[in-house]
Amino acid sequence: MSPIALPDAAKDLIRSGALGHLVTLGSSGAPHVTCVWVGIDGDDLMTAHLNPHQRKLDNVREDPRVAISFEGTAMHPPGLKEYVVAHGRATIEEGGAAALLQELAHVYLGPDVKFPPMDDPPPGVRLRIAVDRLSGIGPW
Amino acid sequence: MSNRSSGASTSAEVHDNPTRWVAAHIRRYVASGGREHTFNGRDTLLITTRGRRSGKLRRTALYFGRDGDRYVVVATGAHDPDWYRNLLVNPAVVVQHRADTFAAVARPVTPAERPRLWQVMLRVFPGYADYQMRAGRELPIAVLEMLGP
Repeated sequence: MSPIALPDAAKDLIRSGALGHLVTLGSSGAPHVTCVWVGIDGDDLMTAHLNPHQRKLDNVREDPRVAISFEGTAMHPPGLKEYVVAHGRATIEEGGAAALLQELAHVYLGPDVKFPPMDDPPPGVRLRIAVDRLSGIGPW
Repeated sequence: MSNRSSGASTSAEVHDNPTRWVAAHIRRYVASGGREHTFNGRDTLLITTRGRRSGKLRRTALYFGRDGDRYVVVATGAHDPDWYRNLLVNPAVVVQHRADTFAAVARPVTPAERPRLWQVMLRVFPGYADYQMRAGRELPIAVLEMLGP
């Protein structure tokens, strides 16, 4: 559970279909960044992955600290593009990836889409990010 | 633009679904007086619910089926979408279909009417069968009944 409440404006930006830029830390301390579809469960951020052995997931298993940013479209004085960065800790939950990917496909791809496209997708994993701090440009 | 004040509100300002393509469809629908009511060739309606926590008015667009005078809609996704959770708490909703806007009462289908209305919805959009297979739960169906004559 996120220790902070996500403001509505931040949730709206994330639900707009903005890709998340997720940063995890490798075992050597090297940063790893990847783009992900992101959903919201209460005040937690959720991602879904059919392959449980992706680098970002292995990284989180070793070090749960993550940061994730989203770019919006609104402009703020003196002409800065809105963005939000969430800092938090991620945990991995087994299963449920296809259901969440189908839900997120309707945000990121559109209606009338079957995603993942196969009939019998593997259970996969979900990443739950408990957010403890927000930064960026915007009302948060 | 959405109202960014926090806390409960009962203002009449309507907040559209923030997902860009949904918001764009709603804007076209409203601006055209309901003439641009289809999405990918399918008829859509707009439903406005009252936020169960915020008290704000929330509007989204949905495919629908008809059952007599009633409109039938499906709540897809891994979790119940906000519009569905809202109508369980506040069943008084506003529906726009094409140029007509009317007050309606929303409720989940009863177990007895569900099988028949699920078939109605599969005829509207066969893809609901795939969504149901992977949802990991029974996708809720709601009926919207117009108020008054």
